Amino acid sequence: MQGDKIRINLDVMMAKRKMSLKDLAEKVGITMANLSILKNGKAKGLRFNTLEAICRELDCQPGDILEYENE
Amino acid sequence: MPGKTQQTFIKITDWFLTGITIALTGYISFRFIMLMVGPILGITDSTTKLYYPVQFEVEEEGFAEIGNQKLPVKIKEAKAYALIQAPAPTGLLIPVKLMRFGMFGVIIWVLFLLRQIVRTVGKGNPFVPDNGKRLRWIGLSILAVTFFDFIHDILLNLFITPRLIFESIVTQSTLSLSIEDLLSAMVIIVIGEAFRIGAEMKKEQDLMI
Repeated sequence: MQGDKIRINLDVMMAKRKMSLKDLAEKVGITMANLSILKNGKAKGLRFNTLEAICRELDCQPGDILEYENE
Repeated sequence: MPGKTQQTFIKITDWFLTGITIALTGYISFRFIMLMVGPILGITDSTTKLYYPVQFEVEEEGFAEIGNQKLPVKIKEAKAYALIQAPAPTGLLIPVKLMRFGMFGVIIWVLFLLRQIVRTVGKGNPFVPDNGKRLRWIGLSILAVTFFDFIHDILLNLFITPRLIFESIVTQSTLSLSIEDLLSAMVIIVIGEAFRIGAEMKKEQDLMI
């Protein structure tokens, strides 16, 4: 539906774990530019292996990062 | 990004296309100005004269030498360029001539689009939706030129060829619609559309993290 969207709460989790964008990008194995696209909600999709790596490094669940928002 | 050799090749192609575009624009502008202003100023050199291709029926026989063999040859059709000086049937010729200029305008537009595509190749990112749109415009332009040419032929055969009278030569009206050009235009339009969809998919893929 138009108006519905998936919100990325990566910045919140990163702040909780006190991890910088650079550190997380290195640990996950993606570029800082791509992680920034993801963090700013500009990404069109998220691969399972990227999500797995982010959850592993931030020690969290996918639901902590992704949130469904109905506007 | 493309390698050094490819970059050089792309640069040369870009210069070549720019050169052709500038030369063609200059030439067409000059011809156009001469056609419009020439008769008023009384300039009667070849630039103000109007040449028209006319198809003739002829009956000529001769020989052609290929290697050591002499082969009999029959000529049945010939194309001649009729020179019509102003102010003869200028009223009819001007709109037909203007159509020709319009066609050249479209060709310059195609060259411009082609140059833009080459430039995106030079930047190492040709798979952008804009290139799909450019290809579609190129195809549509070729289609337009083909139809312009056909209408031009119709006007020429209806209004100009019958006015030309020659001794012992029969002028023959011929209409031709280039199937090859139509097909190429269709192919370019289809490729352009596929390219545009592909570029959109690439854009999505680039934003898949």
